[in-house]
Amino acid sequence: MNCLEAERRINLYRELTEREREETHRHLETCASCSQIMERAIEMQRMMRSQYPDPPPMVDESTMTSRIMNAVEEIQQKRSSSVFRGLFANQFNNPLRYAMAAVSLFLVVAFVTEYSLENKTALLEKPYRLVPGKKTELNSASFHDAFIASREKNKGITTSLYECVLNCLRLQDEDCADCKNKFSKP
Amino acid sequence: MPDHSDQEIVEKALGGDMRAFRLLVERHQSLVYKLAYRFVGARGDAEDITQETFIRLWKNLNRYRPEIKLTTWLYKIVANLCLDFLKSKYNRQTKRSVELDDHRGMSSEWSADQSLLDKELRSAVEKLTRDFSPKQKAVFVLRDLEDLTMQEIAEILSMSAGKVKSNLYYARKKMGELIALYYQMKTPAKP
Repeated sequence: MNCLEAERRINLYRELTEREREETHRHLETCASCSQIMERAIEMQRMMRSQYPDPPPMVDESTMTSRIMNAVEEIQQKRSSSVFRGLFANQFNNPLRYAMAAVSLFLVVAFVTEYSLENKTALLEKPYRLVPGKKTELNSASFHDAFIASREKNKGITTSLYECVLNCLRLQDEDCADCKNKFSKP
Repeated sequence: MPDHSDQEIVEKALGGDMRAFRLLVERHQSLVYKLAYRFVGARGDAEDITQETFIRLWKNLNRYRPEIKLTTWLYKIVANLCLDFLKSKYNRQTKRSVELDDHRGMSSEWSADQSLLDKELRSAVEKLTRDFSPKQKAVFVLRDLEDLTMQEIAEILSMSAGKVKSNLYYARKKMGELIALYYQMKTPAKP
């Protein structure tokens, strides 16, 4: 063992194994300068124990206890004032919280998937909007059945002058009060 | 309840019994304060850290594992808080003034005891530990002043045993050099 290693071991003497101590002692028997370092280290340990200042006492133990308990109770009140936090922070531990979050996420994903499969385009379909002047191409086949059904349902019911005139012309009704009244207006 | 073990009291506190938690505070606050003071060297800071330690303990009480001693867990919380405190100071390179006022302001009984010691060396030792890096100081306090085992220190500081040893080595080396210097200065030069 060289002096460098011996010096390291002297500073870590308390932490050495029995074997390491024996090796160190064998070196110290033959090395005066390391022996001196060892003596100094022992002295240092002794001095440390006696000279390192003890902490001054606390202001007052009961004051400190009250200070801590007040701080803790304040936090407790803040927690219990929030229902959500009260439920999830106090009554459930972390693993349970994570499990509940995972179940919730799974249910949302399952619902969306199920809904999309049943109504294939329902969630993605854009609403049709008629924009005046915009050229659009309609697939009349899509609207045909609905149009025919609507026409049959609203047969005889006129909602505008234009539709009333068209209807009267089709039925050859020359005495329609609605059309006549509307045309006769100044 | 005072005869109950820490574990039993923790269980009661977990059930919302604030009196049980108060008992834990009363039982361990001195230990926590003493350790905090040895790290930070100022009474006010040590008291703040003591308060913060118990707040953290209360917030994390549901993580308590009975196989670990409560005091070890408290040591861990205090050491982490003190390390953060020392790191921020160390990084700013600010030098705190010696809190001699704390010592002088104590009761006459305490001051009388302390006055028996070699004030010069005591002050030098305390000053030197303030120049330790936070980790060196932590290891030094826990091993040489609190007498914890190397395994406990490694666990408290979340450090490998090798790192603990190397920090301890440098701390003791510095301390040895200071004490050697002190004795050189005290020994009158031979004519």
